[in-house]
Amino acid sequence: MAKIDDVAKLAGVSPATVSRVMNGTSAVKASTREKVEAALAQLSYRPSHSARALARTKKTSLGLVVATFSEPFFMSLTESIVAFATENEVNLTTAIGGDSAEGEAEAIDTLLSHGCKAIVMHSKYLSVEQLTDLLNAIPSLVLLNRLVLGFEDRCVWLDNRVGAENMARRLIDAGHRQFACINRAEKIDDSVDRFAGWQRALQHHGMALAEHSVAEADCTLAGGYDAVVQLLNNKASFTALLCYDDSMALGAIRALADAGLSVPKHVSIVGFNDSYMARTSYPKLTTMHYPVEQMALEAGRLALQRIAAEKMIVQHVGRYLPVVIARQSDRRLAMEAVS
Amino acid sequence: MKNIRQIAKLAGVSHSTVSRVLNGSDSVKPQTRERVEKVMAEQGYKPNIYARGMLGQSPKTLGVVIPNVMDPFFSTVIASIERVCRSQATQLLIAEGKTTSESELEAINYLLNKGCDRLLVHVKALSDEQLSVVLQKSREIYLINRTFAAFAARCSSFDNYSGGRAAAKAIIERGRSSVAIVTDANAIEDATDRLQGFVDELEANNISVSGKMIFAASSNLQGGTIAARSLLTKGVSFDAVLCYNDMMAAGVIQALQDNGINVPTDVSVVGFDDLEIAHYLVPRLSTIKYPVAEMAETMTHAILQDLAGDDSALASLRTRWEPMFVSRESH
Repeated sequence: MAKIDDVAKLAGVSPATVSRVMNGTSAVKASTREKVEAALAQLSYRPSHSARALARTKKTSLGLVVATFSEPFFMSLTESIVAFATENEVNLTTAIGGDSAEGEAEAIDTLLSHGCKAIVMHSKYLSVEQLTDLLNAIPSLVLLNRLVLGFEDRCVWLDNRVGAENMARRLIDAGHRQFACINRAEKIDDSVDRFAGWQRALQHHGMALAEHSVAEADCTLAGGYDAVVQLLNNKASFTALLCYDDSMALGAIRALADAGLSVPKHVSIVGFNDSYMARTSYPKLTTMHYPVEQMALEAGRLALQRIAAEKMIVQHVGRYLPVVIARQSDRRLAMEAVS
Repeated sequence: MKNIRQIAKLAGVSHSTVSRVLNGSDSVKPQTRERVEKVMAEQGYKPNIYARGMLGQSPKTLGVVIPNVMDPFFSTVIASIERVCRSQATQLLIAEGKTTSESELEAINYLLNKGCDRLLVHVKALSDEQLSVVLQKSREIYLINRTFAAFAARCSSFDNYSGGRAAAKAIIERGRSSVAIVTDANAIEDATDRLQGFVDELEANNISVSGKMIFAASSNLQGGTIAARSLLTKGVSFDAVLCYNDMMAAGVIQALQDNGINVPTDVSVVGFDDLEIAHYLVPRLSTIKYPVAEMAETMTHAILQDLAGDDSALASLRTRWEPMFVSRESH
């Protein structure tokens, strides 16, 4: 099976020239191009993609696994890692994990087959056992948004529970005593932890989220809308609405408007993530800022550090806290009796 | 659940060796290959995506070039393509083309070098001449949202000009006559076509738009807000704003409402694209439906079927898509 060197030899040029002819990026003399193309044809040269990926580039290959490219949060995350890769002059290959553990495992396999030496993964579905196996098998794997005990030095994660608790406490301090929440129906760490955080803040003040004040749906605009419809059908009474994320919150604002309820006049609403959805809504959403850029940077550095010849200095934070971004969707309640 | 690493362990090789066996690479010693394949057979290892790899072929990969992953319009495109790829067990690789012909070419070459079997690209900076060279050299590249006479069968595009006319028509029918236009500062063909559509329809109805009432900004939420503020500081009266896209329209509405102007009672605002968010804004956004999700889905489906050997798949590909006005609450 022919290799680039064979083609180069036959054409009487350097392997680099053969590459340039195949890529078409730089100017190559017509006569040279003809010689190379003749040699390519004569040897029936067919580049094997992984061989080229592994051997041709001197740049390190970094891999990224995300669930999808089409949600605001993952758009931000991908953009941050792309910026990191560009700045550190590493090649980046991204694979989609989809919505299953199997999909996430396949995504890792894909990246390994593309010659990725270091991998950053955002995983929601793989179990702790499965992740432990992977972390043991792939020394350069770093997790973003999961903490696996025993691998703290390779995890970068957001404390969703404390973040959610802080958000609920903001509304309690603002005088709210009637709460409802709309949560993501899918039971992943994020939805379980945020709910736990809200409950903790409320319980600390002698309150709790009653069953009819909790609605679950997909974490989409439509899901947020449907969840509020559920709450209103349940005759839930609330001045404060806690939302799993900004997309659901935006859908919720629309549903409240359709029910004649104005934000923040009748209902104070808060989101989570600080995605572009938070700025697109009107009023703009008070939300928890998910420090995606900083976390992506740390995860990228940790991954590269594990394969670097010389040790990179990486400040290992690991656990990140989201911060409140106050906008216009929530307000202080006067401390009068609320019926 | 069997995976590459377990197979590697059992066969006593590295995971990259297992990958190379799956990809049909010839840099694997025959004895090693046999050992790995034996272990796979014993373990009943059947990787979905790599099934074809076991026959010595590479897994199928579709490469996609879009300008920018952060734009909600393109995330709609990606979502559609992702769905089809997942259902056809095809890998998806994405590269950002950004806004220059150099970066678009770099993205295309990057995906070709990664061994993508087909490419679906959205490129606006590459000139027709440059694109012609690329399309001739590589038969596997398809264009979305761009039309190219010489390669018409590999393109699908949208009639932006008609969309512009339809948007203007809607506000004329509402009785509006003092119109401002918010357009993309980056004058790609989508922007110039929509703008021409707005202006031609207005002028055909005896509404002239002076250059002073056309505001250019970045085609995002903030750009819309900035453009609207520029409009407001002029102190001229206006009763309608036609926008290049939905995100700019959302920004315009925010700025107007912040300044006590009610949409749609005082001012009609129309967007373009019909992003999912248009239906959930307050007020719901009137806009032009740009069926980009359907376009991407149809094209991806046809491309993958063609890749699988169906010669007729691309012949019947729909290449031209028409706009439709979606009447909601903002106009």
